[in-house]
Amino acid sequence: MIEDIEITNFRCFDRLKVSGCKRINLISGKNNVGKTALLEAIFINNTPTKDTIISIGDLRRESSQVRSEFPAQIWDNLFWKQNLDPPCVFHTIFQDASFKTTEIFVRNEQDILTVINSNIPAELVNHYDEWLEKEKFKDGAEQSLGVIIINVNNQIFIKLIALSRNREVNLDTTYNKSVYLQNTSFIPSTLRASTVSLTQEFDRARLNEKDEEVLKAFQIIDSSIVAVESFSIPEPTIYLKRQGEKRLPLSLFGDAMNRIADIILKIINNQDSILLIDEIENGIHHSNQTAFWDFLYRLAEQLNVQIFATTHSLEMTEAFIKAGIDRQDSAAHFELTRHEKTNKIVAINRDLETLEYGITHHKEVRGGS
Amino acid sequence: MGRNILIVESNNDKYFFQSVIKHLDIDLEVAAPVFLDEDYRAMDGSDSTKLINALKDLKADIQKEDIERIGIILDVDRHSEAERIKFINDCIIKVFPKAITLDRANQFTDLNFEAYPIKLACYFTNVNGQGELETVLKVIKNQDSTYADCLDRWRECLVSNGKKITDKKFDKLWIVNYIRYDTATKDEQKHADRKLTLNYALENKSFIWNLDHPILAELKVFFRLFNNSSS
Repeated sequence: MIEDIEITNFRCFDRLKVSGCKRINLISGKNNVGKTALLEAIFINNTPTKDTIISIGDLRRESSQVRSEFPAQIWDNLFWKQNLDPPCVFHTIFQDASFKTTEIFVRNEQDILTVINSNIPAELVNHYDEWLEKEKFKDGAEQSLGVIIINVNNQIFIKLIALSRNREVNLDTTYNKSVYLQNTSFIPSTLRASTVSLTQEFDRARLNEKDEEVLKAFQIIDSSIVAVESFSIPEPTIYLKRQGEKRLPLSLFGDAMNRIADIILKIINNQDSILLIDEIENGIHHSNQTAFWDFLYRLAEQLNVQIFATTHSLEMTEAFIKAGIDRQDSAAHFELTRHEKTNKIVAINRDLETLEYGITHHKEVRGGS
Repeated sequence: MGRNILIVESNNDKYFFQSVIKHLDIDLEVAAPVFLDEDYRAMDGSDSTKLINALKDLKADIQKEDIERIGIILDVDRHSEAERIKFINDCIIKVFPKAITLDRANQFTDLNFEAYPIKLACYFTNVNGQGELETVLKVIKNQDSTYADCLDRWRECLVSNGKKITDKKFDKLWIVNYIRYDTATKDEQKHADRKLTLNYALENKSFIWNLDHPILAELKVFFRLFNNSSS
């Protein structure tokens, strides 16, 4: 499990340290203070691949047209104040004292050889030269190269991700991906999981005989639900059945049910993983929030899943305390806020007792003063 | 300049110290009191949790606000100053493990918390080495207090009937009577819930207290530590 995170030169963070993570971590903060960026940093460090970089851009709704015209912008927008030097650095220390560092360098073509010669092993240099020869655009279009160096307890892996007009090429030829890739899921604040993908996930849970947990989760929101099933007519769809009523597709049950399905299925189907949830409270009525947290605490513990979730909601934070007060070793709260004097973003760790003290004494614990 | 924060035990402490701070024109903010329930104020060895939580809360604030100096005021009650110093030091070390512990009241020490240059000092509310806020308020009263003083006879009556009341509770009753009967106007008595409170009396009727009484000299020395021109 992640214990400490240090982020340098990424998005809105010049340098941010987050210390004392536990199994369930709730992150509060004002708008634009970096809550989503923190989740992205964890995502990148855990799964440093081309797909992660591209998907982060998708979640931010970066224009694909702009991307194809100006591929470098994908990289530029990752860097603090778009300063490409120094590199973005993500450093994680785990509870067993092991560590992992991911550094992202970005260079235009002129600098590529310099970077390659100083950082890349010979076999990769040859591979890149071949690619450059074969794929280089003759119209002189700009390319941008991301060099990702991953250090897992001093075992080094190097990836090259070249982005060029209309092309996304991953030159990753590293081996032993299982050493540096950790199973990580990201649930964004507004993007709803598709009906097909949710149903596939439900079927996987059912195959592993864990579908009962999905039913229990739905019953937190609506205790009259007695069955959850999936059908493929006309397309894969989850159906819910209330006592004495006909089956209805999940999509008719509102955002909370869809969101809960997404969250619970990600946990159930990804044991020993990390789950990132942006704005966890979305759609969940305050009266159901404590029971929902209680469910998450139990399931995450059972399946060894570490959760990082962001929130704006005081009610969700209070429910987090209520559900976690007897599980203090499993819960941590972080307030992301700007220091009054330096304006730098800091992550303030509070245990649940301190968090409760702050709330009852009308202190601001969700960002700001 | 950074801000200065004062930790106090109760709302009544907060109102009183705010009055004295205002009287002295010192730049010192009083934080939300540790005890929100006025009837429960017992910051002794068994209650270190409350002070520790207040210090942890302050530790969080230090990381986002420009705080320079912290003060803690506790009642000395029936303890010695040395016992109260030890109590505070034990709480400080649990939250700021690298802090230099306090030797005595009215003197700053360094918390040594990361790169933040925070200093902390403490003071113990007392009259001649014992008591609490209400003990002080009784001494600095500035008006006739016949209604309050006659409680002494009531207390004697209790004793003669085999009952007793602690000094702490008695002093609280004395203050209540002083505010409600000795110093209240007819209009104030008509709006008892709002105007017959210590907060109201301190904010709107400071003339019923002598904030220049010699008994407050040491408290003022403590507050002047937080003057911006002080080091």
